[in-house]
Amino acid sequence: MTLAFGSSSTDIEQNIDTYSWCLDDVDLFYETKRCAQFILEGNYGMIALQFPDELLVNSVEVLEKLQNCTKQKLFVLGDTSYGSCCVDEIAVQRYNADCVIHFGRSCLSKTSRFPVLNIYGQYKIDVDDCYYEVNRLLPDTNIHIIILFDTIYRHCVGDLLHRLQKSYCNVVLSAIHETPIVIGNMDTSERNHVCRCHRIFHLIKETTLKDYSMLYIGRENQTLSNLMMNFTENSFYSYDPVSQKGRHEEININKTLMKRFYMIERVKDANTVGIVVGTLGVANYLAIISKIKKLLKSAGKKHYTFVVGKLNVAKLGNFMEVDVFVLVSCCENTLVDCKEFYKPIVTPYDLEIACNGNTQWTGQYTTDYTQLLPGSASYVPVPTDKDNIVVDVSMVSNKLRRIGFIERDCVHAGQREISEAVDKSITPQAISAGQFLAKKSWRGLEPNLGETPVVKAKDGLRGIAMEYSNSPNC
Amino acid sequence: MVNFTVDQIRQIMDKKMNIRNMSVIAHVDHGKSTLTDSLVSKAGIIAGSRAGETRFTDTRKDEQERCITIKSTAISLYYELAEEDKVYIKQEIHADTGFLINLIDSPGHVDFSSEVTAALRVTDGALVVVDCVSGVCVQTETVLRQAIAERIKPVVLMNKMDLALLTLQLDKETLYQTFQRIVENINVIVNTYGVNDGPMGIIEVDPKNGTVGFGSGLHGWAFTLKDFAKIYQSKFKIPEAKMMRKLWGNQFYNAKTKAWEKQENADNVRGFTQYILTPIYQIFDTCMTKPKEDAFKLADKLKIKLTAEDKEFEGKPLLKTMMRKWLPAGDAMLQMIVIHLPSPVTAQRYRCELLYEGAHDDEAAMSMKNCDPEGPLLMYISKMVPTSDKGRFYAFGRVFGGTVSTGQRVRIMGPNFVPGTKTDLYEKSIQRTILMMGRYVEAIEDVPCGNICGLVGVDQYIVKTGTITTFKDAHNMRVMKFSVSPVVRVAVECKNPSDLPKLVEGLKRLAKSDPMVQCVIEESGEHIIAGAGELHLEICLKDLEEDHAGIPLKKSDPVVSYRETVSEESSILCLSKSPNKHNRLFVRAAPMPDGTAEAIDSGDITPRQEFKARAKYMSEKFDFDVGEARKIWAFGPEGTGPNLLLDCTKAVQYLNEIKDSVVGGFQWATKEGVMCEENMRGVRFNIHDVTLHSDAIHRGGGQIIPTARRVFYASVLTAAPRLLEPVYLVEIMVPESAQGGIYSTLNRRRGIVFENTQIGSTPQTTVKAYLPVNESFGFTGDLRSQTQGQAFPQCVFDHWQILPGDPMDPASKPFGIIEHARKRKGLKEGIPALDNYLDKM
Repeated sequence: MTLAFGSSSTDIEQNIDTYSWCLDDVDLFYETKRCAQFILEGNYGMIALQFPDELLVNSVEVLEKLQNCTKQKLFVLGDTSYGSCCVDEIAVQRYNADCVIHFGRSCLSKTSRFPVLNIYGQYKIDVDDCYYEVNRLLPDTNIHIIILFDTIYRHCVGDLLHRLQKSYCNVVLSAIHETPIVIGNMDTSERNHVCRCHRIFHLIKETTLKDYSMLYIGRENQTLSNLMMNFTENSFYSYDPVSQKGRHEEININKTLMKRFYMIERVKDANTVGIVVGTLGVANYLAIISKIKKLLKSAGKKHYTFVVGKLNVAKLGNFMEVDVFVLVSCCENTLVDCKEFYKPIVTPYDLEIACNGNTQWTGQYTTDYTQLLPGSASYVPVPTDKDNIVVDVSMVSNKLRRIGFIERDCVHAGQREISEAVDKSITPQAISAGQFLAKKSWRGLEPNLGETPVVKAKDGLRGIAMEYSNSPNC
Repeated sequence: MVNFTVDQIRQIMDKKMNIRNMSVIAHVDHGKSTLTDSLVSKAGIIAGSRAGETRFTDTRKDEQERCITIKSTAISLYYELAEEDKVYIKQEIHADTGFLINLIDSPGHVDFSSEVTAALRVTDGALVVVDCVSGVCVQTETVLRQAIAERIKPVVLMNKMDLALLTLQLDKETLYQTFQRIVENINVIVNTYGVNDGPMGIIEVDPKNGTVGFGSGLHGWAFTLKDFAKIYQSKFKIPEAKMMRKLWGNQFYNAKTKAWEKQENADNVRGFTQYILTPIYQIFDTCMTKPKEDAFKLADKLKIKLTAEDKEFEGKPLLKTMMRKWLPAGDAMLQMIVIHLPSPVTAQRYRCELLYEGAHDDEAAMSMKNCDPEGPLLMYISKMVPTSDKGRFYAFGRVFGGTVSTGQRVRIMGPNFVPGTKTDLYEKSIQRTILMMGRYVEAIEDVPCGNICGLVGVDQYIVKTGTITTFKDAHNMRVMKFSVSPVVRVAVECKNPSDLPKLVEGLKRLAKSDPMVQCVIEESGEHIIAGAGELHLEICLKDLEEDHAGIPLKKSDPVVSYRETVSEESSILCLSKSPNKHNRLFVRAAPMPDGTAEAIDSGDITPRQEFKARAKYMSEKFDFDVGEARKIWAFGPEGTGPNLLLDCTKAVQYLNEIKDSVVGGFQWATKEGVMCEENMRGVRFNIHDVTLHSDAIHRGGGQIIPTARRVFYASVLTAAPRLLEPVYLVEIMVPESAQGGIYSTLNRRRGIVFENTQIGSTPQTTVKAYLPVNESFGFTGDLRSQTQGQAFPQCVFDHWQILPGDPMDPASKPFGIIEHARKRKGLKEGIPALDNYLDKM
């Protein structure tokens, strides 16, 4: 069962890969000096240290070291509510911290509330071996290469670039786009300058992005699949520092895009859409939620918003009336394998394509929802034309469906006649949860008025679901 | 249009008693389109001399090239019946005008038989064309059966007499016997699927009544007994109608006693052979073997006027000209059609109860029953025809009640429309009404009931078929039932992902333009086109690539859709616990009794029936326990499919509360089976026990739906799961000498021959066999090469059968198929293990 937000386990029991985790040098790995410097320079009094589950073993050691250096109040945050790749701002806020130091792998999503220091960790990598594997994979030395990497290997990519530049003449290294995001100020004026997924790089003159192959340093994980989703035109090669193997990533990106297209069809078919809030930290999450609501309204669909913490099958299964869920979260967690879920889970981009008639499908994909917001280069406004109603046939159910604004006032309960308004087709109302409930065979306790004897109220059950203290069954 | 203007046609449209709506139906290659050309030539749309060569109704380029009809085509004809012949008409007519015949030429190849179904719906009569050499074939039977079921009155034409005379050189008596046998065969079918002298009146065909014609479409001549009775009535001094009876059956004329006798003996001759076949044989003989002058003499004798040009011909062309002048095919057939086929007024009276789903006395029904042009509009759209404007369609159909006109505001109701709701209902204006005639369309102001026409501007609101009405409380007209199923599929992919929207748009257009093809996107992202057979798919793909989508495509090899089923009852009572471990479901799966799945498919058992009546039926027919059959919770997948969920529990608390959730899990599980996510078929799930948490919050949908799905999967895995594969019924016409090739080809492809009959006294035989669809790819080509091109197979989906072998055994065939399907769908390798779904107590 694959769940969102990285952890590959059921809700309660988690298996964390902490065996064989022994560090020779905690100071080096966690860059404690840099952390201390950050704290002292910012003159922060209350500092949160956020650790992912697999690094939690070292948290106390790191905390003590930093406390000794800085003499400030520090505390450790673990078990983050969404992905451990994002800064858990809500938790930080609760403890009134002034800043956060985020350890481990990061999805690089921008946050808005606190100063953040990302310490990715100096994971082990054998640069020599990597160099040899790349040579084996890519014998053509004239090939154009862009180096992308998992953040935990950032410390070594400079070395690698030097090594590669000796034999390959067209190597470009990507950098992490660190500046906090400012809407409306995306620098895309320079032609050779590409910024996607918070990675930034400059192309060699007179080349386009299509000419490059991507070399990814890191294990196969969400970062890789996210990058592949965003760079659909390029072929990917990866080097895994743990198994020390390089390989050509052969996932058919065309197939993946076709799968997304299926999801887009499902959104078009949906009457009721559930907006699942999968982040409370990534910048602009409120802006995208309100845009999604606007889009759904313009497409004539009902929507409900859910905040459920980490996603799982049972949680979302409780909302049978929802036809499709859209997950608002950081770019690495937004693509969910929803095979086991009762209803599909889509990304804001899928929804945009499905409901915004002005957006064109170009074969490009983006997992970063900020691309859909005003100020981004690919922003498309929500259509406001209320007469723009499209009726077509669903490719999933082969039934007619209709996308377009629904005039709510012309539909009155109990009035079955078609409103004879001039030049309006009959507008099938979006089916709301209330109508769904009316179709269910069981709608709650049956009152059986007059048939049941009147009794006095009794004490109910006490305790937790596992075992009630006064349960008659147990 | 040479003979009439649109205005004239519009005038005659009002004479509803003089309208004949008819389709031409037959087995493939029995000569429908060629024959239709004779009719068209008579109506004057193309020049008379080109009839037999042009195939007017084959409008597409590939149809002309392949010499096969793919799409049905409608044309209107006009015919004036001679005054003295009007006495034969047994229904009311307008005496003062001619007849308007709306004719639909339909494809004969079984892969396109959905077009036939659509054509039958909008017509009242059918001209069944039978090749008199090969006789009644499987497709003849199929289309005739459909026609009878739709209450379409048949008349028959025995085609290809030229072939019988010139190539096979049959003697006269043999030919008569052949005709006689074909008539008998047809009447057997008619009586099997219909009631003679029932609501439609007499539907058996009989040459004596003039409901059977004989002729040659290619040569452009045909006759009924009436034509000859007219010639001989003065000679024998017997009135025409009576004379017809002498010319068929055991009626023998004794030249000595000048009397008709019932027994054959040395002195007398059969009326049919003597007075009909003899002159025809004589013409054939004279034209082909004797000097030209003899032929001219004979022409004079028969009062055939030959022009100077005609006299230039020799041999076959001369024969053709003479026969055509003597017995013009158009006249004979048009007479037969006009006299014997019902007018809309007659037909709608008895077809209404069959076609209309609502009350049989509501306004719409009355409008249809009385064929009332002033009543509320009731129109059925049977198919969509692409226009020259890309992506737009004409909605083609029949007006059953009222009048449809340009600019009229109408209700468009799809097949899922539920009266009183707005499901699948749209209200729109009709932009234009048009007449559709072969290659041409003509705008027309309005069209009254009883006619066939096209509509512009409503295509967006119709998937494939629909009912159009102005009556607010109208119900739907019954949806058509196709005799073929889309069991062969291909996946298409565009080479460039940015073309995806174009591909999808193209698929939508393709789906709309064909009554049966199904285009879907599957969860794996694959774009699937499903059709009836290889030829059907080939045409669809060509259309998609060249026309509808217009982009380069990658196509997979054809694959078959499978079904998942079980072969035994679950070996253990399966238990699954909900994620919170507080709820338990206990289920067993078992195969449904033989025939139950088919009964659900055919609508004998449906979720909408009254449950007690249904339980009674199921217990009587399929040996269900009445108590259990009364507690059917659901059909699945899609709420209507051939799997059942039965509640076999006793006194479980809160059970009704979780019913919706369990049904949700059941629909999910039956749609995506456990082995390779194909639909399930023929499985009954018995819920034996349920324990639930006493607190409602802990037994919600989120807990129950996934659990139900898991327990159903577990129960399938413990019930000896099997794959079902679709099987074709193949009919092969072949000379006896080439049969060896058929048997060897079928054997190699797991085919089983179950019938082998000789066709009359000819060397031709018909072999019937079952052939798994999976083995049918390339079958036609293989068979032809094995029989030196002498065998012609027709494949039509017949049933599902268990693919032998245990899918769990890695050496078995089902295992390989499942692995392949899982890989294609991007699923984990191997059938999931039971412990994923089964929990321990």
